[in-house]
Amino acid sequence: MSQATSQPPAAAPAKASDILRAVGLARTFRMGDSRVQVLKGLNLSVREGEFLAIEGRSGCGKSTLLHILGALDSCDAGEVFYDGRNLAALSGAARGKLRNTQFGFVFQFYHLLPELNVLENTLLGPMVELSVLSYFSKRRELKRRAAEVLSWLGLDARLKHRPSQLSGGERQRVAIARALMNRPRVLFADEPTGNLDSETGRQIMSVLERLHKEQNQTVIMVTHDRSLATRADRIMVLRDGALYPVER
Amino acid sequence: MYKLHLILKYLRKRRIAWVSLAAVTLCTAMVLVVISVMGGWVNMFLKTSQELEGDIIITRMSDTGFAHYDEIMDQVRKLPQVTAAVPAIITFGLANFDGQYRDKVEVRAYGDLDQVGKVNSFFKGLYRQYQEPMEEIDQDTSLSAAEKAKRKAELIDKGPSFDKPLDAETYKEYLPGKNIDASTLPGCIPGTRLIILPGADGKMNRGPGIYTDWVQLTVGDLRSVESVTPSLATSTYWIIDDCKTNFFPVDQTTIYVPFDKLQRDAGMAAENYMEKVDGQLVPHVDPARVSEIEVGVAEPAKSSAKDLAAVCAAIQKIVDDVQSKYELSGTSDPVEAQTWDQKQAQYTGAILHEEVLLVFLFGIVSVVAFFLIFCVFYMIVAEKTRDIGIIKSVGASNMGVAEIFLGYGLTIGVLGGGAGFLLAYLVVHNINQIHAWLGRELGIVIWDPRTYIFETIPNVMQARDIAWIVSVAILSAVLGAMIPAIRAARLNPVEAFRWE
Repeated sequence: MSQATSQPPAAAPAKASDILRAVGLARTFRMGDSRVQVLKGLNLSVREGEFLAIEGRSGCGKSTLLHILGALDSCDAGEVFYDGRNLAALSGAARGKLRNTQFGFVFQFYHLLPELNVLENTLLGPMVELSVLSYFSKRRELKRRAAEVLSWLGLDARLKHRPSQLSGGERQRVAIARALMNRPRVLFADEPTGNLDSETGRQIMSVLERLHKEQNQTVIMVTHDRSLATRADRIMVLRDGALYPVER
Repeated sequence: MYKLHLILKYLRKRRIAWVSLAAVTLCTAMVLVVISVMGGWVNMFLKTSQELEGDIIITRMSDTGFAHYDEIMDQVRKLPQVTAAVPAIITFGLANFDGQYRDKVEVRAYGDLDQVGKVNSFFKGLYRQYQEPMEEIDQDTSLSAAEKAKRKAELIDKGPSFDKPLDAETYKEYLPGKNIDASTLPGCIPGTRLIILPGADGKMNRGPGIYTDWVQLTVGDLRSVESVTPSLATSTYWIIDDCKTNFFPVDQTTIYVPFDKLQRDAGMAAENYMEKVDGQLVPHVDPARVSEIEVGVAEPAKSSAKDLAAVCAAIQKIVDDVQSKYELSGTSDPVEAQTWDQKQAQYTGAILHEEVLLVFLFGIVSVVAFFLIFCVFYMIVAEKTRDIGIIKSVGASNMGVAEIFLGYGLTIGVLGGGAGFLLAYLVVHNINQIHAWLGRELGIVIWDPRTYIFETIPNVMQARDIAWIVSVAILSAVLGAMIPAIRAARLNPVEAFRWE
């Protein structure tokens, strides 16, 4: 059994291979009259092509950390650098562009749009990115790419189905297809198997592993399940608002 | 692209969108129908009022009327804006229709019949002399458009008459046993509703014997109305036509007779008599009198209240000069020139107030519709909160999210406004048939001509009303969506994911 070290890492100097770096991240939530500090000066560096698992108990702030790293949320203190650019210095539109073209998200509850079918959910990223005219001029190419991604995920026969007609595992694969559609440099996965049975969970993990190994995809996954975390290149444990590396 | 795609998806897949679409459609249709009917009614009332007695009326409050009207008319007709002027006598009488029923009536007579068509709607209201031949010309497929126009112009130039349509022998046959030659009796023209009742289909059914019926009419001598024992004159007339001005109270109570006949019967004809002056009998003439002179005014003055008032002032000056010439001015009951709306001010004022009230009430309805749309959109945004988080997680900007809901509101406004217009169009254009069906099948009569003056419900929609009502509907939908759209745009995606 691997063991987390007792000391959180100090902020490491920036390296050229770092795609994402967090320095001194802090985040506090107000819960009624009390304040809960979930992140307390957290440091983290992620290399390009790395599969990082962040492990921790429910409510320890894993998802919050992932949202801050993925420019979905902001921190109270500290900085996040993507490719050397400070996310806090970017405008809302620039952060949106980053989420659209550089990051991909996979959530525990899939978060698919119920009115759209599988193909349309997969095409959501390009739809957000492109104007009506650009989208129509590229629609054949985009649909071919979406079909390719969905085929790779074993969803060829489900293109016209709506999320309500899919199983949990299929929904999560659609969510992965949507996240991969714009070829993101970083894939964020928030408890991707948390809502699935163990067999389906294993299949989803296999997809993430294949992505990482075959396409050198950078993956940051948060999970409370050590057995899933061990399938990553590196594991860090989030505890008391700080990250601790797990030695294997 | 995602905005358009999501707007169309939400419209097709979300039932709540259909609710808001139905709300906009019904509100638009309701306002359009009521404004078209009531606004149409006000317009019809004003137009019919103007056509009823001419653009300017020279009148005197006294029942005995005023003299020297020929001289006044000669001068009035010379005014460049005046198209025609006709004298009129108005009195009250008792009519016995063919010995079957009696009714109190207003008796009206116009002089200079060749000009009356240019002044008021009397000629156009005549069924046998105007409406029927006009219809025949229109339906005659053998005539070219130019020929039709020519025949219509000839008909209009001919003007109305009191000539009897049947031969002398026929009249004798229908009024036998009298001591008079029935074919010499004069003609009269009752208001349509005095002699004809509409059928179940709402149309006036003129039976074949309508022009062989007679009317016995008793009128008072207007010269003697102030005396203790006013004299009365009773005459028998043949019905030669019927007049439908579309002004229900007029069509239900008025009977038109030849001018000279009524002038004599009402004691308003010129009278020669001898008067003793300084012990000698001197011939004296009481000039003929009329109740009013109705004046037609040419465009553009006819449609301009300011220009019409100026023409009215010029006519008043003519009247005053003639009155002065005969030393008749300075009486407490002067002869006055009034524009049609001044004469009808009591009614038109009330109606215009009613129109203001209508606009106010529909302002309230519009506010209610706006809040309805606002509530529907607030619910839509609440329901789609998680979707907003998803859309933002794939890179949508705040403005982009706001535009989805504003576009959604705009689309619902445009579709709802358009559908509301179509619905209102169908209702308004078939409103008389719908009303007839309600009366026939359910016994519901909403439109009573005794209250609303006209027999048919106005069924014309004004382009201006359509434009502003549909615009307000679209604006309401966009404004109703605006606050929820701003709320959606400001949502933090992470908070949106946590939304329950």
